[in-house]
Amino acid sequence: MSITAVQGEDGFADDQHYVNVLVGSRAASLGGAYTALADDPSGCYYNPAGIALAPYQSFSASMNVFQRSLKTYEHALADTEGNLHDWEQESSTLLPNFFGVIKNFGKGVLGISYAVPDAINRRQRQSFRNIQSNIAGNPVENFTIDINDSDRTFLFGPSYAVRLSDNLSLGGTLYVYYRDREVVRNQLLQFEQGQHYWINYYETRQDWGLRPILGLIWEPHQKLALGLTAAKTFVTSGKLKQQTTFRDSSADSPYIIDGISYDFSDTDTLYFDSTTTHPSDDQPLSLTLGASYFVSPRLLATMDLSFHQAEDQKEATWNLAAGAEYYLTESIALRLGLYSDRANTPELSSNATNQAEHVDIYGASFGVAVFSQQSSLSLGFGYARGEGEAQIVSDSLTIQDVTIEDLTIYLAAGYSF
Amino acid sequence: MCQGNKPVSALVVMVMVIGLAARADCGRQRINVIAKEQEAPADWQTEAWFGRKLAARILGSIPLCDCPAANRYLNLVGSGLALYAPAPGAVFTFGILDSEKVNAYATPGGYIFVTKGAILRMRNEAELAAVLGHEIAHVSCHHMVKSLGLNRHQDSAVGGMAVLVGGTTGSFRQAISQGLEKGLEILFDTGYSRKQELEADRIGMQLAVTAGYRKDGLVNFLKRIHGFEASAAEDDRSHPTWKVRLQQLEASMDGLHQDPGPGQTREERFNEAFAQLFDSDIGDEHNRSSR
Amino acid sequence: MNTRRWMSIAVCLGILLLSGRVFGETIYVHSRIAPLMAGPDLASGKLGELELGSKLEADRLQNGWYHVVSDGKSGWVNRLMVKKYPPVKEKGDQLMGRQHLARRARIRPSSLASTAAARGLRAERNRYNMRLKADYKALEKMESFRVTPQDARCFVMKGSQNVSGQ
Repeated sequence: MSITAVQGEDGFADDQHYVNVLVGSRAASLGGAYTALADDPSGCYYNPAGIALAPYQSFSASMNVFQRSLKTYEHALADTEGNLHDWEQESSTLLPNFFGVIKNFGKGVLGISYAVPDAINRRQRQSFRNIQSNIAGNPVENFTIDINDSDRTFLFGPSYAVRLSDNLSLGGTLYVYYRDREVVRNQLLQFEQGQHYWINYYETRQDWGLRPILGLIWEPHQKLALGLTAAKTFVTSGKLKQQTTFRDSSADSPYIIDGISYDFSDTDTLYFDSTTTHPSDDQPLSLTLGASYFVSPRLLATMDLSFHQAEDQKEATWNLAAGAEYYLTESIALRLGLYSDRANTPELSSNATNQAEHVDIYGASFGVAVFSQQSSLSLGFGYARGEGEAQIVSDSLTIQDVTIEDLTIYLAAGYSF
Repeated sequence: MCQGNKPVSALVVMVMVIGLAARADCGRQRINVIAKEQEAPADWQTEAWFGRKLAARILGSIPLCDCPAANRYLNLVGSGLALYAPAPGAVFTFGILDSEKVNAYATPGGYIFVTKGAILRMRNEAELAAVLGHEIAHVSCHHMVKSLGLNRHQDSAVGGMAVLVGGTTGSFRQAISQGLEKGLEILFDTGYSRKQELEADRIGMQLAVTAGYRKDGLVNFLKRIHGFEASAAEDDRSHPTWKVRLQQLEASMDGLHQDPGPGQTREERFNEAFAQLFDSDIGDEHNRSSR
Repeated sequence: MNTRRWMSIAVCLGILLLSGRVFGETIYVHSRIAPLMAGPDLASGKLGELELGSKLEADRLQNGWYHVVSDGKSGWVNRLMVKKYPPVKEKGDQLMGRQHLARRARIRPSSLASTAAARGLRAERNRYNMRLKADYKALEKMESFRVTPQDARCFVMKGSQNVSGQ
């Protein structure tokens, strides 16, 4: 096997983090620390109990997000002159990320919402020349990599919340969960002595499931609110289609795959495999505890601490978010948030191979909202950065430093009626 | 772990203490929402405009008592209470209705009526103040417009009241007449919501006590009329069952630490002002005996 | 590395929270008179009276009473008599009010019709039509009994004096 190969399949999509795209305009600019606030339609996502506390009988909100993400694996490749090259993946998405309506209904408040908490559209188009190989005297003259991944999670469903007493409210959301993922990866290595290594991998995955969210908000004091949310995604049906096409004429002996021998020195030999499986792995339970302190009618501070259970290969992890909101006037509010988006993978060890990457991300967000009689408009920016480690070369002990940088711009509108 | 428990338990205790000390209020409400709830001058004006129309219709249905001295006194008592009411845009006007039934009504903007039948069953100014305080509270809390769905935070995007006034077309006139009809229905028939009635009881009592009256005015009055009320239950559909009211009132009274002294009843000037009313009623044995 | 990061987050939050302390809560008197009491109940002595529109800085709320500072005097004012926004101005707004109304009315002229329909107000429902007869003469007579706030104030004061024997 040659030096450079695609990383293990698990590393494709960002399953390693729980925050990814912040949902809801006010929530996003408060760093997602919204569990104790949640008093607008995005409460359906953060803490359904909050919608019972919304100041208006009816409220709708929508949000559009542009996110650009850059992931750099430092010094991934070395050329024959000893220069080191980075491996760069870029993702740009522009999508409506939230829509929600809440309305008084019976004794409580009914909500319907749509959220896209995770959206990746990753691209890598890089070519490298004269890369060192592990075949002595036969460097890779040309290495081309094309990656085109898209992975989006959609949530859609109803919420209902009631006020149990003056200072206690309870709510629930039942989201239909749908995840749609497509992965296209193509790698071609052309060696100086004429051989080639070519792999094309194509994958589609559709998961359907349910994500119930239960929430509680308790206001022990007029200036303090505490929120608690429990959420878990149950995947009821998954469909994974994988297709691999492969040739390696640089191999000095035939490949034995599933008991079949592939001798690529024969120019007609091609490995092709197509499988369909039905995985259904649930996502871990997440518990979030939030606290908001209403300093004055102009200022509030809010904080969330969330804990994500371990499941399968995912380790237990936790995240912290904090935000503050200040109204300059009755019609202009400034919001600031800080948050963590920690990886659910273990830290890399120096004597193992094919390890999942581990990058803890920390972000800051800032937003301005302008209010008129019935509507509000917000513009927000987010920046997140993480540094960590990865092993992108198969079966190699080498560990690369990884940097992730995310820039988010969003525009949101709210309307009360 | 053990180290971590200390601050956590301290936090829990702190939160519990705060929780016991105060009830949740509207700390959550942000200034943009508060600003929207702000009453525009136009809100009080339109309420007064609508309330005046409604008042004229009440008087079209039940005549005003021809007792100038008593009406004047009623206005003094009522306006004295209204000094303490959070109704900066209201101009309060009080009138006695010539009806033997026991009731009181308020229309938006500050028109307040008490029936002669109710006054005849009162013993002192504190009881009168309690009843008037209750009606003033309906006005200052905008209960009528809220029930009609005409306040601008409910249903209507811009303010149903303003829309009522601004329109001149036929459909608007019809809408106004429907609004008035519904208003009368609330006053004479369906009543305010139970929550609104209890709120008015509580605020009315606070107004009376702030003005220096004994806090048990409404309780005493309600207890006295209960016997009468039972026989004329038709008239009192608009109020929550008197048991619930009494319970709530007594709870509110416990919360009001009134001092110095027990507060005042101002019985003397009450009897003096209503002397004419009481005298004209001398023939009614039932009422006299209940007084 | 991580510790430093969290420390800086904590410091930022701390600054935000502390800066909030400065703002307190501004409230306004909405009744013509609001007694300023020595304690958060009516049993406490009266320190003075606040006028309609007085702007107060409240630092806490207890049993339905705000603790406020007014002209250097600190005391308690009943929550019932204050709001978080200034009261409407009584005079000089008449004309503005009309224009305001007309403008607002134009924005959504159909609103009431739909409101009425939603609330079951239909033209054929005429139960109270017989009562819709208005008596403006009687109303004007009733309005003639109105008293000024000054008279009302005197009346309240007199009542207090009569009984307390001052």
